[in-house]
Amino acid sequence: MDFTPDPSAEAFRQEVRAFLREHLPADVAERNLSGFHPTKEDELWWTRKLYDRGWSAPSWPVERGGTGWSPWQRFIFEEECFLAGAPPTCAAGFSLLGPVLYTYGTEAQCERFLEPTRRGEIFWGQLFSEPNAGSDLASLKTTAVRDGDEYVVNGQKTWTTEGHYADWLFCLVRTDASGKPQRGISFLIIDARSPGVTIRPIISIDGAHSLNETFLDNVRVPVANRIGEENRGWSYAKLLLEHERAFSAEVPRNKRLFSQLCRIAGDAGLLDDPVFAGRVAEAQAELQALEWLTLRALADMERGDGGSKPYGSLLKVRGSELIQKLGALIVEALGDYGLVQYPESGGEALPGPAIAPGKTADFLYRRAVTIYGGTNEIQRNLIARGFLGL
Amino acid sequence: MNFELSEDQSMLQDSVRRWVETEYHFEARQSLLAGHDGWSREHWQAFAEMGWLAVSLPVERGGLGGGVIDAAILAEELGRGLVMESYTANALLPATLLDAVSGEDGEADLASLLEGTAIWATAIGDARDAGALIAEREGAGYRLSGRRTMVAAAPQADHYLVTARSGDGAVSLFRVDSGTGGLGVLPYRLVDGGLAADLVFDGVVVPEECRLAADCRAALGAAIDAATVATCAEMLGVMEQALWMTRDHLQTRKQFGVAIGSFQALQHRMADMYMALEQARAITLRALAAMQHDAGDDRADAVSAAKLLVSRSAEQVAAQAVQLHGGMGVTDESPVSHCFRRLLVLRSLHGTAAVHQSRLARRLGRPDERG
Repeated sequence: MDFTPDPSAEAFRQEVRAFLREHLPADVAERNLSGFHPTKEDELWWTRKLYDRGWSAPSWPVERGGTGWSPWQRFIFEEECFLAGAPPTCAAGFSLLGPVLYTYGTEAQCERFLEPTRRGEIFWGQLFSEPNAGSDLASLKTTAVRDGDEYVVNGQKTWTTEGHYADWLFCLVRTDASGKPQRGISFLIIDARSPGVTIRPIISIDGAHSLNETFLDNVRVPVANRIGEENRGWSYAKLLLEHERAFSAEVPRNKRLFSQLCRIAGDAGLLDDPVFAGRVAEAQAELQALEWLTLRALADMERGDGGSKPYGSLLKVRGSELIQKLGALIVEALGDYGLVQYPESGGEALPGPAIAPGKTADFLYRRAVTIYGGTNEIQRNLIARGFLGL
Repeated sequence: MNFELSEDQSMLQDSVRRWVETEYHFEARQSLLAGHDGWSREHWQAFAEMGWLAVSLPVERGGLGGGVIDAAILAEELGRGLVMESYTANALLPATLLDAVSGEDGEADLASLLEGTAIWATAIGDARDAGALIAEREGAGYRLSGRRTMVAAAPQADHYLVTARSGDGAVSLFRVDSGTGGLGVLPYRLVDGGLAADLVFDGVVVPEECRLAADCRAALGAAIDAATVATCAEMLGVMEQALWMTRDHLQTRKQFGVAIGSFQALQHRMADMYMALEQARAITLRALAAMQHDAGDDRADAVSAAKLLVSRSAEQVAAQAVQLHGGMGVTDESPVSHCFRRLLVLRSLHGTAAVHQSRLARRLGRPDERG
């Protein structure tokens, strides 16, 4: 055990910062720091900027256009981009679809989709959950029935994040209902413009539109658009859910929330209030612990020992709970202005401090973080049963 | 940055584990605590012979050069064994102070500590304040007046390192030997079986050479930080012990015809205990890193964050460990009740969670504290 700092990490951080200074305009950064949902234009435009530098798909293998960075470098990159206010890139495409495609897809499928995704030309939507299949995802009911060279897909999907931005969708469907629920699931990619695809907004608790429900009514999907083998889609999807585990703590988001909290509380004089400042101080210590938990997970991953602790669940629970704690402190620090429903489109003569718009909307939207990706209760089950042996 | 133990560090860890297994199993510990002294000089001598007392000090001062990181590895293992001979109070803290304030003139004192031939304790008041002890000139030496309460592992000490305010506001460091005229030692046991004492300085006069430093504030801050992080590490060890003991209980205890560990309410409680422990470990590692390359307020902030979170986690883990043991958890014959009591004491040593939280809260207003 030795914590001598690594100068190459600092050099890499400076390289990322220099890139951001050069390529990220102030107005784009300001939009993305507000807390409102990002726009499709910003996301794809930024993906293209990253692509030009070779940085749009850091987690992918080098031969598929990845960067070859270590987990540490990816962590630094994501943190710097996030704190600077860079738009996110399409998470469904880069974290979910990409890995399944290059692991299980055919060469033709990879050629058709990977490069355009990296260039920011395809926005992906994920169709996993259904109204009656949430934490118990394997119970999904959407069917795909073979008809010649096509599947005919029928069913309803929900929680399609940014589905209204999507050019293409990837979908878990039931192709065999006879065996165990986990068997008989296949993984299809579907053109979002196909006849029979209807995407409708779900207005979320923040009053805004980023989520959707997707109706599939006799949608015809070429068999060539199935990834991997028929009835094996569940194991592919499970791999995905493991894929990003060291990043599930969302340290960058937590850091950004903490610095916004300090600014808002400082401006309101609340850091001089011992009770409020004490709560901020505790949240700061929790953030520092979360970061070091992540650093340790990254170090273990780099040594090929990422399975020594239940890092995925641990980081997900701690990170998501801290997001909600910091959000609640921000809303409280805003006082009365924490209760204003600010318009997403901005506007003149808004009440309260300039930093206020978007903050409570974000707090409300982040109620979802302890629910999605396996609820925190499911994560506790996994820790107790998988790691503690109960 | 490397989280893996080196070969030397693994050997240190193994040697403590082996010693605890053979010499300090629960029954041996119970009879030691039941005895008059409550600790064992033979144990202390064994620690010295195995080099444990010297792990942190630089090689040129007779140490093994392991720094605070190796001290933390040692402290965690001693914590796991609920060992009552206090490495932190009788070795790490006084040795760090002696090393910082003395040159060649301090070789003999340091050697007596590292070789275990003399027991050293520190009466430095709580946190960074020198407290109510005053030093005044008295002929060629100094007169010390006042008192120090709750001096850890003090009754058995041969020498005390004592801080006292001198006229100019400086905090001086003195060596006071037990038996010095005017020094009253009021020994007592703590709830975990540990030893402590109130020291009363009623006109204690010491010669000039016993003033080891005219102003020791910088050295004191660093030494307290080291001792605080080691205390955090010791708590990690006790928490590990309590956690796995509780897990084993949940696996074996049957009610309603099934192992109680099959109940989801209890599973989630255990998962929360585990997460609290991992959080405590992470913030302790961060504090160890700060000990390695930060100084002053930055280092102290990292240490405060650790003591805050580790103490809070310890409170949660200890409480739930007893709860999940059911009635047995509140008996003296159950090791888990000893974990609870040990954590109660360690949480308070070198500042409670509340003390460190207040300190960090006051630091928040500083411009460099944002992020």
